[in-house]
Amino acid sequence: MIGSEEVERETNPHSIVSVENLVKSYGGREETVRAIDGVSLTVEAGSIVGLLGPNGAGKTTLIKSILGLITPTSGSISVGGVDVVENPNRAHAKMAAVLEGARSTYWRLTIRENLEFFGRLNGEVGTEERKRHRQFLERLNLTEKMDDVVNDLSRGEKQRVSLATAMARDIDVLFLDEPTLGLDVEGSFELQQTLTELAAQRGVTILVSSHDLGMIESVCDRGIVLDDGEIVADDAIENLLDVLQTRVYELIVEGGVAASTRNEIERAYDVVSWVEHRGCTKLTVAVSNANRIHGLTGALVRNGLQIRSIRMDDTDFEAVFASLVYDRPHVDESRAARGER
Amino acid sequence: MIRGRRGRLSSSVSILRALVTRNILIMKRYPLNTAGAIIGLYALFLLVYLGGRSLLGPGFSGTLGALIVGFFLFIMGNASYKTLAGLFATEAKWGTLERLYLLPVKFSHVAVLLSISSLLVTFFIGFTMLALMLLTTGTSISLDLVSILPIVTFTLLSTIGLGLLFGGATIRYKNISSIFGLVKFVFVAFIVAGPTFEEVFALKFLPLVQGSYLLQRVMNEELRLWDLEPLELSVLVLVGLGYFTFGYVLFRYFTERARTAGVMGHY
Repeated sequence: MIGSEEVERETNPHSIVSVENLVKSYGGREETVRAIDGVSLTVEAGSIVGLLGPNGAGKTTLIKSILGLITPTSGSISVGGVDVVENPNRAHAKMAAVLEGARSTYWRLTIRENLEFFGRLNGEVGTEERKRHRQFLERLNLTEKMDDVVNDLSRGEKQRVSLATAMARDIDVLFLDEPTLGLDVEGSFELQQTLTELAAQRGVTILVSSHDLGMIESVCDRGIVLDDGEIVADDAIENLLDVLQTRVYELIVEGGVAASTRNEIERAYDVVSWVEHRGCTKLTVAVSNANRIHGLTGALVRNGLQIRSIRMDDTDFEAVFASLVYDRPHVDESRAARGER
Repeated sequence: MIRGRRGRLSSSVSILRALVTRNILIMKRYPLNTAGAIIGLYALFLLVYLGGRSLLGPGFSGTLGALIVGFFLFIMGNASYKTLAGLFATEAKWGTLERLYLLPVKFSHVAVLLSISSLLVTFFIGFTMLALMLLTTGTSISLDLVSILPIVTFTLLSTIGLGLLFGGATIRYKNISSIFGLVKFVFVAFIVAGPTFEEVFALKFLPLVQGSYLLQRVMNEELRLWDLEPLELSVLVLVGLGYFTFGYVLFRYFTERARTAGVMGHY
């Protein structure tokens, strides 16, 4: 189901994060900016949820509000049944966050010292905790560099150290803001694997904000698309992909296409372009229902054209995202008002 | 989950242990940083000492004890204030401030523990410098730690309070470090004026003034803590606790303002 207005919000006994009608405004009486505008959502325990949206959509503000780093203007937030606004410290016992990517750790300490430090901040570090640290470092391929100073590590390794220190204690919910920023393909892939394992094996709920749509698509169970502080889509990733019913087809026909035929096709279909090349014509057309492609091919054949090939463009998550965010009428208007293209 | 007074105490001990261990590890790993700070202070002291001796001649030796005690207190006061005021900006730059905020204890409580951990570093630098100053000048002053430590601790509570105030303001307003530098000149004035402010009772309530006065008496007149007048000691305790409480309350105020403005952790 797409669109925040359409999503039914019932009390879910399995939800670990619950946000109800959250509003965060900045500014004075004369000019108020609503960074978050009436956001409601729940996150089920053990799931991985992706937060998507263009810059300034409100992703980081939403995450920081859930963490208690930002005081909301109105609305309620709870994590594990604890009201974050009323009792942030109790809520913090259940969650951790990596908001600054490769930063977030002490670069002048070794990996081991960082783990001990962050572990000890949350209670004494005993044999059990050290065992968990070792297991986690193994999973993150950091065991061999345990005694290296963080400053000497690569950006990807620093990123993984940040994650390891966030997981240095037993938590239920992990928040990540742009975790793949600055990572190479390999580093990003390793991080994605780690997140999937964390959710599957340790039952950790993960809320991740990212511009890396590929990462969101491969890791997350569910995607929430934010724009201008509002949720514009909230659904399972595969359902978000289905949103874009329209498929783009490329048909190549032998020879040229008469103007009358072109007019007939253009009246019935959403033609993107006609391109003549090497004795053939490439017709690119957007079709909202796959069955309509048969009508199009029939029309071409009836007009004496011989079809050489038909190819459908694969829909990817980026296309869905763009259609959800950039096709919103008010977005176009506000961008036009700001003089943006 | 941490619950109850006992839970909070063990949690505080654990956090303090983590912070102190971190400071020791960094000091050991980068000894030149610490040595550089001590060498810089020592060079400044030599400048004052040698300059004073060449200008005043034999008469200078009479004021040497006061100079050493004043310099010692300046180092401690300035270090405790500067470390704390700058610490929150540094943690924000490192991206670790949010992580300290996300602990299951109050952030203002963490700030107090940070104060205590930085105070230990301050004591290390201060007493190292004191030893160097005494060795260099061949001066002998009373080093009765039972008397000195309580006075120094309560004196530094006022600078720690100011450190918390500026630390909180940094979290909310960010780039205000230019004001930090000015405060140390005020400290010098208070320390130098401390013993002379004896006549004006109200001036004893300025930071460092009463501490400077009492420390001079203990170290140069070789008095014990219990030799001092109860009223003078009460003023010391009141001033220390007063500034600390003032700084603590304003720290909490500024961090709440930072949360409302959505700038907690930004830099």
